[in-house]
Amino acid sequence: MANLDALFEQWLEGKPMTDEALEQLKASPQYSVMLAQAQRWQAQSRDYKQQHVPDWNRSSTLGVKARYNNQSNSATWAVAASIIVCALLFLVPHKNDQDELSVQLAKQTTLLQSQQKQIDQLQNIISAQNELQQQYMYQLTKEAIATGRVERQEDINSLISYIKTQRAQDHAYLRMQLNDIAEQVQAQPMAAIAKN
Amino acid sequence: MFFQSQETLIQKAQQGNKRAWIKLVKQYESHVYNHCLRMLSNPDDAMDLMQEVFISVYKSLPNFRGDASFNTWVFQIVHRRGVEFYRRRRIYQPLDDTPEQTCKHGELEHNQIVQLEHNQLKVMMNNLPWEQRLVVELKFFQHCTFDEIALQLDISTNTAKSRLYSALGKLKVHLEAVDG
Repeated sequence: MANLDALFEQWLEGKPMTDEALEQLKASPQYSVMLAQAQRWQAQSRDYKQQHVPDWNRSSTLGVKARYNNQSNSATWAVAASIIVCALLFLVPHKNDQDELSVQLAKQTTLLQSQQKQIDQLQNIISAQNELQQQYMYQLTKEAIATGRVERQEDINSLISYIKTQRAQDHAYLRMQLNDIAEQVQAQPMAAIAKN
Repeated sequence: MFFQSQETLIQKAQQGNKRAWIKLVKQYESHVYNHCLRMLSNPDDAMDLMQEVFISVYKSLPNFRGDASFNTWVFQIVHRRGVEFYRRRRIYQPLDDTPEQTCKHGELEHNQIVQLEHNQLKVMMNNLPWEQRLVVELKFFQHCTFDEIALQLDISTNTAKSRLYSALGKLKVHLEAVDG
């Protein structure tokens, strides 16, 4: 039995087998069945047609990490480019003559100075604009507050005048009612008036 | 485009090179997709699993040290993700109730043909528990030795053998039931 097991394993592993060994397996009721089933699976494997992968977005497998890596790559490239430029700036003058070097240096210095001036001017303009902007903002705020105050004042005034009118009307009405009562009292006979 | 060895592609992909990664994916996608298709018997599920696998492979790429071959390493991830996917699907949708088709667009007809062609294989595969199905897949479709199966599935060689023998026995019982 152990021998048959080893033979079957050998067959499964695809190792060469003699016809005699294969016959031995086929003769065994247990292993002949397993051999047949295994052959059936092998036939399925042989007949299986590889399916084409449907179109899909392969980039979707890239996570957040890729973006970080890309960023770090671009940062690396930027640093490398800066180093190369610096190295070139450093190396190129060595190839020229001393005069050319000083001329170049003077030119560079002039250029730098003019650039510095431009930068200073730009900074001045920006700071002036900032100040102006702040002033405008201050004015706007002040105006907004003043407008609000005036509006509130007008509202309160109109409310007060409304209350005054209302109060005068109430007084007039009360006065009329009192007059009516007084007239009624005067018209009554003395006997009908309560004696306190 | 110059030819790049797999090692170079892996190294570049590890450094975050997108092109190298896409090339690697292209090299392995057919192999992985067909494996997933045989295991799950559903093209949509196979696509989902394949995508999950490649996402997982990409995430784990920095951990690949080359101790085993890249193929073995990838398929170890395929097996892990496959088990998770199968369990998840079994919870939400029993295998027997799996719809034949869920595509709605142009791939529908193609998928139907595929389903018909592989119907017998699908029935045979679905008749097996996941672990046995996996051993059958590795043995007969990927032509792995028992040692390789054991390495990929992180089991002993004897376990791999016994799972295969059980699978062969189950197929016999199933075919007898089908044939009457």
